[in-house]
Amino acid sequence: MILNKEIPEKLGELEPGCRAEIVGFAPADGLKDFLYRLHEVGFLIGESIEILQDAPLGGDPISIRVKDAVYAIRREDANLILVNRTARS
Amino acid sequence: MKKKIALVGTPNAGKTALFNVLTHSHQRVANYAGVTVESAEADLFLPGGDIATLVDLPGAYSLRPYTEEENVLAEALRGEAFDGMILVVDATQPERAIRFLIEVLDSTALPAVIALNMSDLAEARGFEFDLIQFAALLGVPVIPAVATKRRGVPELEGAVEVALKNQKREKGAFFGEATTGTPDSSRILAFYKKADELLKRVLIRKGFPDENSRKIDRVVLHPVSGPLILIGVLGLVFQLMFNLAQYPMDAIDSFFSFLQARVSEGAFSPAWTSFLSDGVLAGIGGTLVFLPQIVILYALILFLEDFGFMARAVFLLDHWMGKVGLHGRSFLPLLSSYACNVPGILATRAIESRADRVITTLIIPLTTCSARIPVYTLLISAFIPNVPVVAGVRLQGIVMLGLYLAGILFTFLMGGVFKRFLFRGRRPPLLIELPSYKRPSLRSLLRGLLYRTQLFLKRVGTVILAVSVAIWLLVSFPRGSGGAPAPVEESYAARVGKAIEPAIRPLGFDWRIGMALIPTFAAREVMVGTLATVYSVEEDSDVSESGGLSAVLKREWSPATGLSLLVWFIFAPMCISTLATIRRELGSSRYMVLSLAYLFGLAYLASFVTYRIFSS
Repeated sequence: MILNKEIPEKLGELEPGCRAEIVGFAPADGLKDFLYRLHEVGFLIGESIEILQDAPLGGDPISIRVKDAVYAIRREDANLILVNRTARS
Repeated sequence: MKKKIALVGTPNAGKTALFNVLTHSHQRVANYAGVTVESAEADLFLPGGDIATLVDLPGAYSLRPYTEEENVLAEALRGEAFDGMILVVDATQPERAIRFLIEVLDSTALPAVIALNMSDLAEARGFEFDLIQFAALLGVPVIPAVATKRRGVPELEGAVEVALKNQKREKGAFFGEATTGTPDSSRILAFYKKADELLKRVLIRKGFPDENSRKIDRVVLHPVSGPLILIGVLGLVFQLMFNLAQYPMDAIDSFFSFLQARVSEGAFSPAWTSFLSDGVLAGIGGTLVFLPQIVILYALILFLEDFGFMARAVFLLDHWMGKVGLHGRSFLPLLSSYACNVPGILATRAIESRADRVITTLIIPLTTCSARIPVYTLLISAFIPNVPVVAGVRLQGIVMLGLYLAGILFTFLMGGVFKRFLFRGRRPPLLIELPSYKRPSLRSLLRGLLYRTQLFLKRVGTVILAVSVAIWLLVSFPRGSGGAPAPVEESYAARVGKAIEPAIRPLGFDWRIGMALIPTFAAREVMVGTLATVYSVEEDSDVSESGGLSAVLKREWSPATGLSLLVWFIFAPMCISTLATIRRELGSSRYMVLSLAYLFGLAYLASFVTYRIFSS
């Protein structure tokens, strides 16, 4: 299978240890306020992020480092954020 | 007229710690902009000798209100309540700091001073700011500070004084006024681009990420050790709350018994002796006895929150709380509610979504607040034999634990029910910062405790005192012939009790219990005092100590009645302060009526079933 690096993935589908760059946002029907809040805390296009950990027994939510802060977001909600992987550690 | 200074900052920037080092005693609850804000305010001494009032407003990521707390901040700054402000930001989060600063400075022309807090951590991690450029670009003084070490305090006081006198600023100098309106994404993006450009000119060197917190998180959020640590911490919290509190509680108890004894020995008329001893002292003493438990629980909560653990607890619990329709953010309000439901409900302001906030508020009364403990203790000692069950564990302890577990079970159960029937649809999103771990500041902890204690004492001195006196009056009047005490059966309270007896008969309650239940609407813990008053007046003997009262109850009531009342208090509808807080916080009587109705229904049903089972 050929992986096209240019097709963005949903952030909620990444595993801990992944680094990625934000390339866009999915349509946020009914979640506009949440999307704005994501922007406000630093989730913006071009930003590098890193998935640090996922919660025990269920793998949800995940902790994500953006800029110098770490946030917990549920995978379902993180799917609003579209990313390209940059590296795996 | 004292000048009013708003203390404004981002969450986790150490705003409250700064408040505590900038101000001195005389902390008060502040009311602003039409909403009751439980913000603290206190005196700020300026170097020139003037005294200003500093108001600790809720923290916010931006002025666009997303949570109720942020709404409070936006409203407060929009009004004319303030003469100046201190903006507190976290120096280890420069991007977020500068965005917040520009947004707030753009939204108002109030004179401002910036406190660049945690500058020691920022320095240790390699961040370097051009402070002169920073102040010049923003047009306001920038003071590096370390609130927990009292660093930067005199500089801030001086800067505030100068700013109040001389600073002239314009609204919207950076991006125009509209940064606070409902934004579309492109506008936000343009705004942040501008903020980042500004930051480039201010931040000389970027620091390293916070590796320490990352290391701690590898353990605290670990799939195996994480849940174990969480359970251990919660277990320890409740252990300390009950065991450590025992000694001061006994001391308070003895002190009030001593006072009551002195009153009986004093040269008062019998009516005055009864008023002082059974009315005033029994009521106040019976409530004050919880102060140690409340103080200990809050001390631990404040400590864990300052340390950074509470956000991790949300992270660990969110998935599981979601299974029953709750939000991870509901954890802290629910935990606070174990001391008292009222501050628990106030803590729901930090929950972003209205649905989650309403659900959490509705189920908070099911958490076992400390006011139920004396009722549990009394009834358990009267009706549960203290036989050993397994290795050192006795039945009484198991029943106590069972009552707590029943409370937890119904909290989650009702959460699921409300979610299912009131707020269907997609789960509101979760976004919570996992802040850097910090060593909690003792001074902040003590100030927070002092404040909580003040609120509690105020309640004891007003509501509880008034209710205790009212109950005493109802139980002691009308007087019999010649002013002598009439039999309790003829008192006003007994008449009320007898009037409702048909309704509570199926639960195994007689009119005496009925009249003791009525004042529990004012405060649940009054139950014990009322029963003591009723039976001491009736038996004309001293049953003020709980051992005495529990012996009387054992003699007077059937076991089925005792157990039924015990079960009633799992739901314990309902204290007036809690109801009033629900109405005020949710802005609607509808939810107040709903919570009253469902708690009453559950209590009645459960007590009825219990009584049927044990009386057959």
